[in-house]
Parts: sequence; C-alpha cells; structure tokens
Amino acid sequence: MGKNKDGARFVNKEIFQRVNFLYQAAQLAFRQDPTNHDMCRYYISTMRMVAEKHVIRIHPKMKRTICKCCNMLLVPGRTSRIRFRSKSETHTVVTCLLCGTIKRFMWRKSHQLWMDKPEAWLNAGAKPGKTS
Amino acid sequence: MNLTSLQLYMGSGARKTWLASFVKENLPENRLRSNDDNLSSKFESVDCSRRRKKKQRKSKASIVGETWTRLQRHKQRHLKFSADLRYETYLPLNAMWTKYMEELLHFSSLTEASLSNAAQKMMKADLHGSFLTVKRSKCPSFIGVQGIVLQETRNLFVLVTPYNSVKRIPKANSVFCVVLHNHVFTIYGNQFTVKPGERAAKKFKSKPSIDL
Repeated sequence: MGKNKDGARFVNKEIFQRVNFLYQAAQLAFRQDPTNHDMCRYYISTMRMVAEKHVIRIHPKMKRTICKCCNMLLVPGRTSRIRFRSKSETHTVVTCLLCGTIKRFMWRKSHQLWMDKPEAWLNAGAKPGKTS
Repeated sequence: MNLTSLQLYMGSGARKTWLASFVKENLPENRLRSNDDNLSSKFESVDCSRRRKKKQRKSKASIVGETWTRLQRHKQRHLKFSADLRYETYLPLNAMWTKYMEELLHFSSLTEASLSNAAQKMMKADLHGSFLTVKRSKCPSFIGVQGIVLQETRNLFVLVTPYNSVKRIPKANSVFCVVLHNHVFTIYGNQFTVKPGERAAKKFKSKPSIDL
C-alpha cells in the first residue's frame, strides 16, 4: 500500500498488474471450458501465492469470487450457490458446489470496506481502480 | 465357530466335508443352525468384512462438504491436458498477455537507458500466455519449439504448439526468448528455476552464464 502523502509512489504496481492479469486469465479459462476446473484453479492459486509473497491485499470484490478452500472461481449458478438466511442475523451464504465450503457475509449497516474509505486511495479520488 | 472358519480359510475343498461332519458331531445341538452345512458362505463373510472397511474409508473422503485434504490440493497441481487441445483456443490468452506487457513496460517510451529497468520488470512479470521459443538447449530436439505457455512450474514450461500438441520443456539447460514489439527478451532457464509465485519476491543476482 502506498503512503497517503503528497508525492507518494504507487508501491508494488507491477505486482498488482500481475494479480490482475492472473485473475483475468482464470476468468478466461473458465469461460472457454467450464468443465476444466484445474486450469482455473491453477491461475487462482498462483495469484494467491503472488499476493501472499508480497503481502498484498486482494481486492474484496475479487476475493469474494474465490473459494478459499479449492481455489475455484465462484460463478453463481455454475460453481456456487447463493442463499439468504435470516436466522439470528441476516446474512448471505455462498456455497462452493465443488468442495462444499461456505462463505458467509453479514448484512451489517455499520460495516464498511477498507477500499470504500477515502483514506485507502492514493490521491483521494483521483485514481480509482487499483487492482481491478 | 471361529476355529472352523479359520481352518476353512486355510484349508482346501476336500477338508470341507470333513469339517461339516466334525462340527455336527462336536458342537452342542443348540448352537447348530439349520443351514450350517452351507459353510462356504461363512468363509466369504470373513473376507468381505475386510473389504468393506476399505470401501467405507474411500467413500468418506469423497463426500461433498468434507474439507479438502493436502493430497487433493496436491493432485490439482498436476494438470491433465486433453488430447483434443486446440492452439486457437489459447490465442485470446496470448492477446491478453501482450496487452498486459504493454501496460507494464510502456513500449512507446522505451529507451536504451530504461531497457535494464524493463528487464528487471520482465523478470517479475507473469509468463502465462506468452509465446515462447526455445533458442538453445542441451537436448537438440527441444531447439526451435514454439508455443503459448499454459503452465509454469519450478522446473517446467508447458507449451501448446501451433500443431495442437502439448510440450513440457525443462527450464534447466535451455535458453528461451520472447519477442515483443521488435524487442527480444532472452530468458536463461538455468537461473529461472523458481516457482512462478515465488519468482516475484526473489532477488536475482547476475551470475555468469556458462555456455552450453
């Protein structure tokens, strides 16, 4: 992450570009052959490894479309099932159809993503689209 | 009864009839069953009990919802490419890769002074989808092989050649080159033997490359 000061550079730009490319490659591989999961999984696992090595945060929008267990892209209806539950606290449940792992997202009004906050951006609002 | 089944397990067919009579003679009447002469079925049950255990273990692992084991994750690393793989289907990947490289290296503003900087960036860049050519190799049959990179492992490049075949080429002892907008990047495979994910974090030292 870059420093939020004047003249701060975009640190790790090449790595963000690489993560972006690998994510798109996974999308492409899935679109070309939806039955071939291995190719897609390979790109995603490489992407996660790159991000882990550089201690980079994957954008939440990307991260939420990845199964944390089997590294598969979660496409609603094809590889994932989305259901809304209201027991105890309303939340969304995303189930990976290949390995059965669950992701839960709470519907909390007070919750705000780091990316949505103004201080997350390098030059407040000037340059949107860090990773996507 | 345990004794009889054990003997049956080891014994031959000739002993069967002898055993049946032996059991009838020596066992108390209340333990004899009406269908006890059909002893062969008992032998099967001894054998089956072992098999059943194994089957149960196997089926447990494949139940949906169970967490993926390390082994399963390891298996997915070994990609299997189908025989009817087409080169044309990977052209969009190649187009995407060239766009990515253009964005990374800014070819329009590339000067001789910034070439070393570009080479540094190229080392950390991704090679999936690039069109590689084997320039030199210790194995003569690899020289001149061209193709789009599908997978990169620590020791291998997996290429799809324009003749719709998959080639796995070891990085060690070979030199690759990539052509991009009139720039030729040469990759020395001997110094490239790192996992693609870890390569980004690795610091490369300039080693003298010993000629083949």
